[in-house]
Amino acid sequence: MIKGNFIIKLRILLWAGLALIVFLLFYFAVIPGGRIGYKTDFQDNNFFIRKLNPPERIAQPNEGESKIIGNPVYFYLRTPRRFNIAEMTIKYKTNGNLPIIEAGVLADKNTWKYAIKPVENNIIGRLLPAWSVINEDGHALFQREKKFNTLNDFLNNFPARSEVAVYNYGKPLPDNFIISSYDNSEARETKLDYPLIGSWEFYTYIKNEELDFSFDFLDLNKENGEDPINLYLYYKGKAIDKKNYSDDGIFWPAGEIKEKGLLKFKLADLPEGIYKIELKAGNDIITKSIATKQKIISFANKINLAKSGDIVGNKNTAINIFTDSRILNFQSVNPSGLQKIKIENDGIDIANTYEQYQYKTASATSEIILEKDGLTISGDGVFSFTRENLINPEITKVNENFVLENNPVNYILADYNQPKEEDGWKIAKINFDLTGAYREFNKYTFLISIPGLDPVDEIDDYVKIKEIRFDLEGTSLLEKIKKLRIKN
Amino acid sequence: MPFINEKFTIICKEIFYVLTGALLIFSIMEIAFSGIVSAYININYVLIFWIFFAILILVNNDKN
Repeated sequence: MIKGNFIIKLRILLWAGLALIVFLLFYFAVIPGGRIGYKTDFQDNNFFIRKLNPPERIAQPNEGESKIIGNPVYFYLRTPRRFNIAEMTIKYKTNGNLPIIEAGVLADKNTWKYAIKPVENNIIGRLLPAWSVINEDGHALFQREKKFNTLNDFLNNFPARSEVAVYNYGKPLPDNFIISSYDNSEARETKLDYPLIGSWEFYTYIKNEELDFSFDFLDLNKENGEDPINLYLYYKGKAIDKKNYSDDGIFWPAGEIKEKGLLKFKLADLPEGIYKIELKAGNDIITKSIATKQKIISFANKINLAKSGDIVGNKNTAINIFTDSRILNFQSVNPSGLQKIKIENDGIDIANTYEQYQYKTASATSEIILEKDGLTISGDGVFSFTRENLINPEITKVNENFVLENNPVNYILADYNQPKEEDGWKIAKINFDLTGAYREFNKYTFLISIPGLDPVDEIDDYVKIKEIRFDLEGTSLLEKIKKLRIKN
Repeated sequence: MPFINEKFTIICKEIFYVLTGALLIFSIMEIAFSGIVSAYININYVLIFWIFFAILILVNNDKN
């Protein structure tokens, strides 16, 4: 006979074990302390840090390493709850000439904007032994020849903008962009009627005049989901006005083109200076036209020209675009956008849809002549429809196209730490602010960008990743309860 | 060896009951909060153990 005592003891033991497992599962879901770490070596499927994608940009995993051969690659970080800060530690090795490696977290899904942070910048890395460096509170000032002793000294005696370059520098600079020759006393309304797809941002200049913009929008309703329109006006990096339209109520791809009407910015008594207007919208939103009394409109980094035939009837007229970008990228997703493009005295043939074509120019300003629209042009500078309207208020960035030789830049401001080396592996730590990051289905989307890595070229260049670790920090349970009590 | 056999059957039954409870609780938890269990435990393995103990109990019952 088995004693009843034994059965009760066994039952208590087993059910207590299950209760403990359930408690631990809830504990790791709530994370009451607000801190947790996840890591992967990519050997197995990790629930929290998913595999790098797309597979065609990754060589077969070898001895637990993920070898990146194309740019960019993406991965998800799955978390049971929201966090405020993420410290990403990446252990990697590089082969080949890769000037810059960056990582980013998706901040806005509509515009596919990533908050990018540096992993390794070899252009700055090469300066370290030769240039004088001042490090203050995580900010670094590199000087070709030592002239300033502190960062404040430099900011208070800010040199000519042509002498300064920045990299991942988040703080506003004292530099005030003024065009002394600017005159718009005979202002008259002009209309830019080149339909533009989705998001864009452009610079304009105001001097003793009213800021007057009128935007005409269409909703194509071709893609799933809502199509909100958000327009922002920025001055010195701060949003000073905002206009928006909510969705027209058609969330499904009905293909029914709807006029959204006009959105206007009309502001008087603005101080002289450069202003930026940004549209945040999905690819269903078309900016049919922009009417303005301002003289200058310079688009930053990208012009995405819609196929006008779908929207305002076929134009089939040549379009002249001016840019200060040294590296230009062209892409058409529409067969009607395929064409031969003239750039200065040269040209490029856009022969296939979805293929990205690159053109390098040495000119400070280039003229691009398009046969027709239906094409995306991007670069590291600004774009304008007239040469005299081309202004670039941005201070030079130390990106992959930055060349130090024969460059007037004498000072570089950067928030950057060179990765450490351990057993032949480089270790970089990157901090991300997750409060503004986009999170869907409990996942944050991350990107690793390595400009120059091409899986189809014959160069044996790659980045081997040994390990990625995330240390996450968020609100603790106690803090949450305290906040709720204060609210009530 | 009737005593060992009896003790073994009781242990098997108790484990089977706990595994039944675990399957039920884990399923409800997973439906309510996606990923809460599957992040750490593969429920398929729990199901395999549950079937294994069910077979053991049935074989033992047949012998008796």
